[in-house]
Amino acid sequence: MSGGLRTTARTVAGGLVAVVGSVALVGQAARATGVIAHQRSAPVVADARLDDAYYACIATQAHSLISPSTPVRYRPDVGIVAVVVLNKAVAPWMRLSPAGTEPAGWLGLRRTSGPHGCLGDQVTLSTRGADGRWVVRGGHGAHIPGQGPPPAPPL
Amino acid sequence: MSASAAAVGGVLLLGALGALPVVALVGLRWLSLLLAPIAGAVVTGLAAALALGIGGPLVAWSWLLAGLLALGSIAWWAQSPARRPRRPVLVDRPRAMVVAVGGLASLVAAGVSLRGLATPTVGFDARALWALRAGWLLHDHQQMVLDFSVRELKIGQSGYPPLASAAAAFAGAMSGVHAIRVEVVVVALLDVLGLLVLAAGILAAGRAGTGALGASPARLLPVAVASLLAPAVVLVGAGITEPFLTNGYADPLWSICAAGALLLGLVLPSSAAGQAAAVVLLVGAGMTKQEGMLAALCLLGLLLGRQLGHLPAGPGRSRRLGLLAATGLLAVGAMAAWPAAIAATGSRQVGAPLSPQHAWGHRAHAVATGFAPSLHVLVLALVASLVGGLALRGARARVGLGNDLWGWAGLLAGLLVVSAVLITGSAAVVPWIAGSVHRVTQFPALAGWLLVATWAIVGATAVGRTTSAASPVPAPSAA
Repeated sequence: MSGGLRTTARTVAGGLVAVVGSVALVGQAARATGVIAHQRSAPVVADARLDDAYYACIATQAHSLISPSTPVRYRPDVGIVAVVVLNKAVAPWMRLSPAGTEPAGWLGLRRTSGPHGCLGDQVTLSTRGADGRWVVRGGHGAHIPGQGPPPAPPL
Repeated sequence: MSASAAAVGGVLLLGALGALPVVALVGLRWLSLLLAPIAGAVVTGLAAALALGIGGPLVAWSWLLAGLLALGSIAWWAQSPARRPRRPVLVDRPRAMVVAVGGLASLVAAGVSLRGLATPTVGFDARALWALRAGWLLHDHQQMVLDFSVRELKIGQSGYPPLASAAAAFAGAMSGVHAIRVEVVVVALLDVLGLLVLAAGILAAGRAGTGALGASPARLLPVAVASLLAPAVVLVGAGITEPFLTNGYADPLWSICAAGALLLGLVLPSSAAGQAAAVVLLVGAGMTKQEGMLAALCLLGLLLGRQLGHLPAGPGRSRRLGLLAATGLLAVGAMAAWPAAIAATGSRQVGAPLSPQHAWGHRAHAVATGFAPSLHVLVLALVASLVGGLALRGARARVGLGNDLWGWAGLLAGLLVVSAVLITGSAAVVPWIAGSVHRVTQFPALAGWLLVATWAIVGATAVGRTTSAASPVPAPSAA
């Protein structure tokens, strides 16, 4: 190939790569603005608010039962779903009772249709009374009507 | 104080933690402004390892480490006056103006990328892991060890690297605002700073392209293309990483940091500042997530390998070799600090049983088909690389960019790391991919777009060179 032809071929290839690459990137950027805007769409905002309210409700109920300095554990019979809910709302600030020591109470979560539910969930604290019998108290101070878990956030 | 204000203040303080070491390593440039909070987050990650492993408050460790690093930086400048920060000299005003336009457009794109923060979304893992551990990192030592080790909390991932949680804990402690939203906003701001690092890298490539074209007006073509592509890269990065960019997840942070390290360390012209910035980003990626750590180790190996090729012959060789080895050891040591603290305290380890080897073929097929829809860009990047490799090698060499194979090696290493985890893991592969594909493919997708962008700039350089040759003009005067 002669020098002139080679230069022309390089220029054409360069132009092609520059134009195709730029158009693809700018096009993808335009698509990305749609993905970003979707985060402000009404269903996403409604789901996020409900999710936020649910965990705030659970945290408020837990605060009505224990303070951050109260040594507690989870009830041994609490299921994995309840563990996850309590981890999300309570575990960041609660004080775990060290192994071998008696906690001040055992946290759990129960289903309720009463006026103290967070979408039907209520935080409970089980403590041993003076007579040795178990006393279960329900959390209060926050309520979200309705039943069922909040909408699942994206994994 | 609102959670958002606390997070913004926290990121500014993270910048204060990382400022002097970053200026010492990278110099007095815009890139340092973007990197400082990420380096500060690295400092809080190291502080978290010390707080868990030894005891003492995370905040005190953070400021102590930052103070020691600042003293080290000042001592270094005192010993080597030539390395003291200096204002860069403006040599080409029109080029600088085009870069400024690209930088401003990138800032606007970064603002647009953060729009999702207006929705109070908190991702599942953000609540169940990253923000949860931010709370634990502010407990006293005995309680912290208990938090990280008690089995009944059933969190296998609590031993994951600490950076996102530590940065959020630092911001929460400094502001006194202990809300999950602080973690979400701090991580989102660090993510977007990382995206701006990518934009700065693209602008640097454009500047290098223009620098290679002498003095004709056509020399501005590469930097003009870069100024168009830099904000596009920010938006594309946001599109790839949303909704996780603004919901508190750590995946975007490691992916963006690793992609930045790939661009600065393996693609852009080799320079001490670029390599140092790449190492800071790699440590950030490695201290953010388990797969980030594996990818960062691969990229670190490639980065050091590229530098081995640039070692000078003669007496300076052994000194440079020692410097490279020390850099590698320091980076690996920083990433190993947290796993060491987890092991030392008997905390929950990260780990899962392997699937039987006979299932790996089927799992690999599932991974390939699961990943494909998220990685279309790799086809475009491959075509650009093939055309560029055949016709534009000379232009790429004139710009001073690294061999394209370095970038591809980094991309494939990161892709193989996440693929290997899915292939050898024991969880049911199809639902695992369905639940994670949008997160684990963020790094290769970002890296693919960066390769496309750099080839576009090389292409513009080739066009600009032809035009320059046709109409030579005098060189611009230095300002």
